[in-house]
Amino acid sequence: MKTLSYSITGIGTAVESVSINESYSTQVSRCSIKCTSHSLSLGDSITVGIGYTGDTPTVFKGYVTGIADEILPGIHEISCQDVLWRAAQHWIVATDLANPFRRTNIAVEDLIGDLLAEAGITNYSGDSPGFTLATGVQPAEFQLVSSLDACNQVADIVAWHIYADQGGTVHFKNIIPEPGSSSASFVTGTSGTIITANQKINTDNLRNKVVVFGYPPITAEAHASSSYLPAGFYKTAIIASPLIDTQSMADGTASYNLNKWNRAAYSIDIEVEGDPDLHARQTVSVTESFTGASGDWFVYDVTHDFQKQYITRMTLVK
Amino acid sequence: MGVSVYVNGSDISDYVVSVERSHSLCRPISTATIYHTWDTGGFSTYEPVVIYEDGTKVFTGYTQEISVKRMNPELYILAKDPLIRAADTWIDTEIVTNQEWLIYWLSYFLNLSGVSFTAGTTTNKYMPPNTSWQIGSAYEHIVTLSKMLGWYIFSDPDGIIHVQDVSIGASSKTIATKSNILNFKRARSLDRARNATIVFGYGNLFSKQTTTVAGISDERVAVMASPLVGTQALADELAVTMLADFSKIGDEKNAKITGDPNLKIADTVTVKERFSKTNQPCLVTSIESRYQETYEMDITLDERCPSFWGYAPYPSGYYGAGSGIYKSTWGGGLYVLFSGEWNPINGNLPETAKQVYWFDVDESVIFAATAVGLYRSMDLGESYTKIPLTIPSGVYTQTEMVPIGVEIDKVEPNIVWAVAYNTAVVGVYRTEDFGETWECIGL
Repeated sequence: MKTLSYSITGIGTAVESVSINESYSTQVSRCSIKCTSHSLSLGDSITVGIGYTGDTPTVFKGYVTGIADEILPGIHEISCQDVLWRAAQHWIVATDLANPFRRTNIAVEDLIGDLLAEAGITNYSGDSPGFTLATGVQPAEFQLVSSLDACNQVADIVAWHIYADQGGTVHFKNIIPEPGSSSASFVTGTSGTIITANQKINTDNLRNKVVVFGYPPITAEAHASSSYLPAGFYKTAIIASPLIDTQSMADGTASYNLNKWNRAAYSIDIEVEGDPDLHARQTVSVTESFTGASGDWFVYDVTHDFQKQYITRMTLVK
Repeated sequence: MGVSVYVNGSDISDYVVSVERSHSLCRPISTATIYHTWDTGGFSTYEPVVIYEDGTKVFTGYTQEISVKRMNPELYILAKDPLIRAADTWIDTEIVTNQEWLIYWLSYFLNLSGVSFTAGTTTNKYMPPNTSWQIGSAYEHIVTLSKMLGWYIFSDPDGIIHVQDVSIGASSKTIATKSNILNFKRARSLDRARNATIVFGYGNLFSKQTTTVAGISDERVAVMASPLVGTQALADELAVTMLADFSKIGDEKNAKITGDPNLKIADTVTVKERFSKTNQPCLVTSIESRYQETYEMDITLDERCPSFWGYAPYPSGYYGAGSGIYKSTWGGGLYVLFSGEWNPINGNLPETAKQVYWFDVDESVIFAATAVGLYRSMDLGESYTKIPLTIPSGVYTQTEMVPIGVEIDKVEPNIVWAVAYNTAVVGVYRTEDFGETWECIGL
């Protein structure tokens, strides 16, 4: 029989519950800890490990951003956000309007690294999409925008993704919400770990046409039919950025984003026995015959609920 | 029960079942709901209401909503404090200002509403030049002015409206566990805290102020930009004032306490609560009171109103900023930023047209939607021509439309879109020849 165990910075043995949420769509992961005592202050770094005796891997690393104390029932609630919280809160503002944050002839991954560094984030690993920005007359400039919004503007050009892992490293990667190589398996039945599963499909986020507006007069468009939509019907996404300053880059942006968004959202909401090694953006394998959900799935959203029992709730998509 | 209620001078206390009150510095109009069994009807709206709890006056206002469902045993009267008069006072003509002090206009709109009030004092806050008060309620203008002054609005038990600075002062009461606290929650947060402020003003002037905020290691900036900030001294003052507010860490407390008719919003109370380590004076920012079989209050202390700090909202304006062109109207005309300078591009625009709702620029072409019509310049503001937007006569009596928005197509600048309205309809217009001819494509 497994025994629950945890290791959390600044909270000895006083933990009542832990809830950690990571999501592909919500870049800044959050953690909420309810406890009866602690030694934490706002802004403190915090590392959370949960699991079972002898196996409490780090599931979250970030900062304490809120502390609430309620005398009945005598509980402190510690709210935390991961390292990208710094980028979300940091505004890029130059007082010399003639010299704002500006880069020229810079690789996409390096520009994102520089923008994160503005917010004091240096633990960064960026893959290379092979794009160089601001090679013409138009520099890449950012003013009166948060560091995270600026990073996302750049990442959207190549339809890539920015996130912080559970160890506090920020990644810039090509991650599309579709299954890749499976890292874990879940099976129903008495020997399996699936508690509940509910499958559904919708086209809310499907886009089968992408229009790109770059540095004038550059534009590009890509579209494709979708078996999930009526014939000849297009749902359109717009990407607009003066950083797109060549026609080939605009064409690539349209193509990459079409590939990213032209898909229906098959999803399963699934509850499994708590597993601290499960994280958003992984691929997992499911064997579940009743809902027809068997197969590989992308972990779109994961919540670890850890209290008297430990359950991992996931939204899986493909 | 220990509640006395008078409606239009009549004592209905014997029929009162319960009284709920709501007062908040962040939501200026206080309300009281009186549940009663006075089933004879006869109440009307805007009748004076006075409420006493345990012999102390706690609310003065007017009836606003009356339940007369005779089959419903829980009849009620909803009353609001006298500031409701300002919400119901509609300014139906444009009022042009002449650089008077803000406090002048605050008093003007409060007097116009017919409320009794007391306002704080200020010496150096003027209205911007060439601005005007547009159609709207007096309440909206009063709220705007109070934000520009950094003040709060609230009513006292006698129904007097207070418009003034509010801060922690001398403590008038103590609330404590094992005494009058029934439950207590304290929530600290870094969400809105900033350790730097920058105010951009006219031309190249700016002011930056920094401080240290516990828990924040990198620089986090709150920014205000306005060409109406015309002096370094004013920019410095605003940056310092902003920083004083934004450098505070959110530290809100919510308490359930035993009822106390002498506790009012904007009071300072000393809190002694060991679990949350709260042992300090706090500002009472909201009170939700219930007097029924028991008398309890949910109070909020040190709440940060989301929109409290707001020097920027001018009476009728719009501000937008991009990387190269800064748009600024505020009723003062048009400005474009070149090399860090705010340069007016008003050309021959008549004074009445400097009340600009929106404008757009492409190369040397400017379209400006103003209070007196759509204007176009083909020479970057050297000269302007008025372009009429109309609807066919015979259908509506008023055929001239007032533009409220205009947008030049960024790919094909000969295409321009405009939105306009009159008292009857709203219309969307489109031109493909730089505004020579327009097509109304929808009403």
